[in-house]
Amino acid sequence: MPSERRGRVLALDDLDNVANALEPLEAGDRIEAHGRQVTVKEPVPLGHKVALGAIPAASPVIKYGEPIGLARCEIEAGCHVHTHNVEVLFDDWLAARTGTASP
Amino acid sequence: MRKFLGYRRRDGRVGVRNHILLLATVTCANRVVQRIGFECPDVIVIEQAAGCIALEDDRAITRRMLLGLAMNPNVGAVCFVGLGCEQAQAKDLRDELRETKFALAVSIQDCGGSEEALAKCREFVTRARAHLEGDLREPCEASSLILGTKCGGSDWTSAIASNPAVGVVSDRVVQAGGISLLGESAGWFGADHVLMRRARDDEVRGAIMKVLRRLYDASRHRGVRIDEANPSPGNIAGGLTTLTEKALGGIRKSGASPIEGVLAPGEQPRGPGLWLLDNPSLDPASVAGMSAAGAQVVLFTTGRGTPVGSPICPVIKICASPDGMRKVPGHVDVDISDIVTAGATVQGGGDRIEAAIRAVIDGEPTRSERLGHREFVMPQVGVL
Repeated sequence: MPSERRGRVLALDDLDNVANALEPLEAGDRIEAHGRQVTVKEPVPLGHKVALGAIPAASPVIKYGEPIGLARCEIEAGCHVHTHNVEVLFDDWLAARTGTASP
Repeated sequence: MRKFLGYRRRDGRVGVRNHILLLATVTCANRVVQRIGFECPDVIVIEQAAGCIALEDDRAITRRMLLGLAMNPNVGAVCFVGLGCEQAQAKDLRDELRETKFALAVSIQDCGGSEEALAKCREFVTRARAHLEGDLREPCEASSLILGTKCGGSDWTSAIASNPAVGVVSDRVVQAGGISLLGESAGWFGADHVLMRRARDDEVRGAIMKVLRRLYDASRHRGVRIDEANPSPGNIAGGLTTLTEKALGGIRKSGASPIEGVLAPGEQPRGPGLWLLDNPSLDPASVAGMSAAGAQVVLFTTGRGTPVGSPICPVIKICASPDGMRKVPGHVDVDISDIVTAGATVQGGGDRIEAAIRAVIDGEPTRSERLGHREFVMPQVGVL
């Protein structure tokens, strides 16, 4: 049995479904944020995000209580959350804000 | 927030420093103010990279900025030094200040040349020192506080620890009836919907949109896109995934208060509360914009550590990065890295920042003041 190391993370808002790693995390580390306990599934570098729960494909990744992007695929709890599995909310700011294609 | 001791100015504003300022209005006057700077280390001098042959929009910014810097309550006496043929005339600026503080204008061409202008400036300094001598600080309401907020040399700790801690203090200043300023308009892209939600009314929402449209359209006109500049490769390596994530981390410095309005560089807040400042993100230009809007103190978060200061405002450096604290501890005034290393709270970080503001107001020099960092860049239309 691997020893259960506690990993330190920080999530600022109750609504957040990701937390920031305050130290490099390894698979098997136990983390806790806002009462949610999760086992880390893969290495997460210092300062990067880890999922606090399963995030279904195309649903928002929430940090600071706000969507920061959309899951490209289902992201399992404890997985590293970054550009490889997160889609930006918009490509073009003007088109996103005005609902029109930009010139 | 409690009362504090400050220099009460004739316009009702309160300074936490009592500077004598020599302000060049154009590059051509730099040598004169430079020489005073060498001769009189107690005098603050500001040089200009430009100040003439500017189009109307930049001309208006320069003029308002020069006036705003002179009006800053940390300035007890000011001398505008110009060449004589530039766009913003020293004498006009002096006249516009009216009788709010001891002020003089020197025009190099009018007084016979550089040497003669230098003599006039020396005379100004002697008179200003006599004028300010005996100025006493008196108890002032916390509602007189005008706080600037800025982040620069950021790392992963800025967005999750030091910016939120500054946000706590910003909200407290607003609740006490004071003013807080959030600048760096290019950094609003991606978090603009949150700023819109916090805007006081439709007029403010319109003003925010106008700023963003101007920046966006200007970048498109150059064949580039402002909303593609972030996050940088360094940001992504540090764990930032999207533009929105980066922008949300930046605006955390402004806490959760409602937004009263948007100010152009050099414009003065029209009442208490949180104001957005449409100014550059470039550190010295952003801090310059805040001092021209009347800030007495600037809270500046940094992860990697920057020494940048201001000629006019004490700049308080706040760092939540263990890495930054190891590499450049001499740049940092408030170390709140225990939020990421030892489970300290963001609220507690805010308490420590508030204590630091109080010490700095009471006269304790900031690290940048001690180090003599007085960087200044004039905000201009093309400066991001």
